[in-house]
Amino acid sequence: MPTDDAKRRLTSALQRFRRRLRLRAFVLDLPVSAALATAVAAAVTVTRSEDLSLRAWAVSLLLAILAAYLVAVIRTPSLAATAQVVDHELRLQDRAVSALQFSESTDSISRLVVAEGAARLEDLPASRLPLTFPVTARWLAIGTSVLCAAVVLSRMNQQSTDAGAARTGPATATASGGTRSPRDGVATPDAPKGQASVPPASSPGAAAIPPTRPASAAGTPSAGESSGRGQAPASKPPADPSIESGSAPLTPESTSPNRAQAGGAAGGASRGDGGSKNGTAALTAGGRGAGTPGGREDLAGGAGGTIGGRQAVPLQPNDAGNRRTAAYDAAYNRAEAATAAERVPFALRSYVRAYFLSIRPASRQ
Amino acid sequence: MTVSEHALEQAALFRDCFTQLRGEIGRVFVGHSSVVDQLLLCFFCQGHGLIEGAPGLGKTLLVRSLSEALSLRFARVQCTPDLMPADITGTNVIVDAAERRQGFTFQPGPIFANIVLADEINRATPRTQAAFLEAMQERHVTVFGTTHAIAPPFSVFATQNPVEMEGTYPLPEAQLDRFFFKLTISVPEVHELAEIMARTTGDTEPRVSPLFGADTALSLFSLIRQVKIADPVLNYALRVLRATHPQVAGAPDSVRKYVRYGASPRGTQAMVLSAKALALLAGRFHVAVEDLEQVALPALAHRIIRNFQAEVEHVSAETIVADVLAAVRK
Repeated sequence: MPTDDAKRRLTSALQRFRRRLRLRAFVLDLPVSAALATAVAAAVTVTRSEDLSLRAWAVSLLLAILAAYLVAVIRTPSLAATAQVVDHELRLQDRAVSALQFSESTDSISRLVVAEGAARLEDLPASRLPLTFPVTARWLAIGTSVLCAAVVLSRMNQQSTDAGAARTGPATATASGGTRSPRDGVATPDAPKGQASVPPASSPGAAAIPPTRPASAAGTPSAGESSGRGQAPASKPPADPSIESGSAPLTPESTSPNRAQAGGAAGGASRGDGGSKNGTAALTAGGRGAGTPGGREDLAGGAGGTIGGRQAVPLQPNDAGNRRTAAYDAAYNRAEAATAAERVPFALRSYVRAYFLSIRPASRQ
Repeated sequence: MTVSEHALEQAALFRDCFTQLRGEIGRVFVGHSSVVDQLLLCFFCQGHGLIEGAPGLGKTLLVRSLSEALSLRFARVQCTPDLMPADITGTNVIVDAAERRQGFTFQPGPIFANIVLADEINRATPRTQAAFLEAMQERHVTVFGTTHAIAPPFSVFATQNPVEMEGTYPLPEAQLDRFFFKLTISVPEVHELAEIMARTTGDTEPRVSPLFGADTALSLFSLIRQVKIADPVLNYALRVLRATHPQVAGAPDSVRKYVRYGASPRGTQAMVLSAKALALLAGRFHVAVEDLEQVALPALAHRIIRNFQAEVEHVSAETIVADVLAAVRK
């Protein structure tokens, strides 16, 4: 029947414009949701002080697009509302509205109205309804761009600070609950609270690798060893008996020439271990060579920091374990120097550190 | 021929008739094309028109030209203070019947014509003006208890002079409301005046030729009423009407300030019906908002009762209607 055909054509044409209106709603909603997603991602980056991976950013944007589409689907107008919008924007003189309303009628005038409306709508492409961005979307885009730029710049600045600190040698470390790296004096967010960092070695060769190794809040000798050693890779576990004794361990690594200042740190650690102060204060004091009232006698003698310390014991060349340890130390030093000289990403540095930790010899355990 | 084809043919006939009438009237009535269109709309919608203008602007000529072009029965009533209602409606008179018997027979007045011109209606007394009320609204006349129907087509066109108000009886609001449109004839432009001089002072005077009769007109009336109006469009007309009332929320400031009482539902009836005719003229079988806006001024202006402040500040009803349309369009 002609009436059914006209009605079908009318509905089809209106559906076409309806999809266009849905797309328009999507375009209108997308800037808002994308800005929200970007803001959330930036907030996460800032608060957690870590780089979000590209994948995370992509996922957030994908979610934003999905949210915008869902909102657009929800806000898709009905056929009657679509007809009103089409009439208004395309100046159809209420053809679509009239045709839709009288599409169920069977009189001759209604048929003419429906046929005329359907024919008119079929001739019009849906693209005649423009996809306009609201003014607020522009401001949102600008704000989001500024936010992203600020985050990127802050991250770049932080990385350059890392590299600069590595080039200039270790700065004064603060044992502020693990917020500063014991090696390069740069804030390390992943150091657990309560873990002590240690003052840097006075050796100019002390490299800057933010540690992820835990250091005992009680001023463990291992922390003192790390700092005193300067480039020593390993840390002592808190369960080390030397902690309980409050003395610096006499391990083969203490025979390293770089360990000339280790006694200072160890002394500091032993002082903190004495129970009067926390690990932070103890380590700092030890780093300054402030002496160790509660430390062991032999370590107290080496607590002079740069002037104290035990004499290095040369390695025996025929000792395979020592050779392996020496090789390990040399490789570790080279890696640490290389990562300090180059602008190595944080993740890669962590990877290198984890690698050396995993292959460290038994003497370094 | 299908029903749809018949409707299309009728619509084309309406457009032709309208165009021919416009041209035919234009042969004797110069300028004011919008007034001519409104007069024709008024007639095709079977409404009554109130034509206001200064003397000598062609008000009577306009109405007479219309009746001549339609070859319909035309009657003119020159309203004066001593005009009686019976002079308009007619009365029963004693006539000689067969077999020497006499009886009362109704003698119809000039109101029983197809097109009635009530010239200077504001000079008639309110009683006489009221005689028009029943005829205009009910389309019948009651004389001595007997109702006499007026045959269609029937339209009353009244004229009034806004200048000479002394000795006149301004039409009450209730009677103003009966008029479908109020048409205002202003002073012609210079080139229009020149054309009037050329036509009326020459040796030949243009005359109007009859185009079609009552049957054709009646079929066209029926077609106009079949034109569709969608709910959103009708809703627009209703919102316009409500916005003319100062006590209604959403009325513009000018309405709140200057209007004592807004337009009656007859205003919307006039808007919708004339918009249907306009839609047909535009080749559509449905009414658009643009049609309503086009006829809002002649349909609503005379139905809005202004307050004293509006008269003091010379705020016209036309200005108020324009404000209403602008407010509703937002």
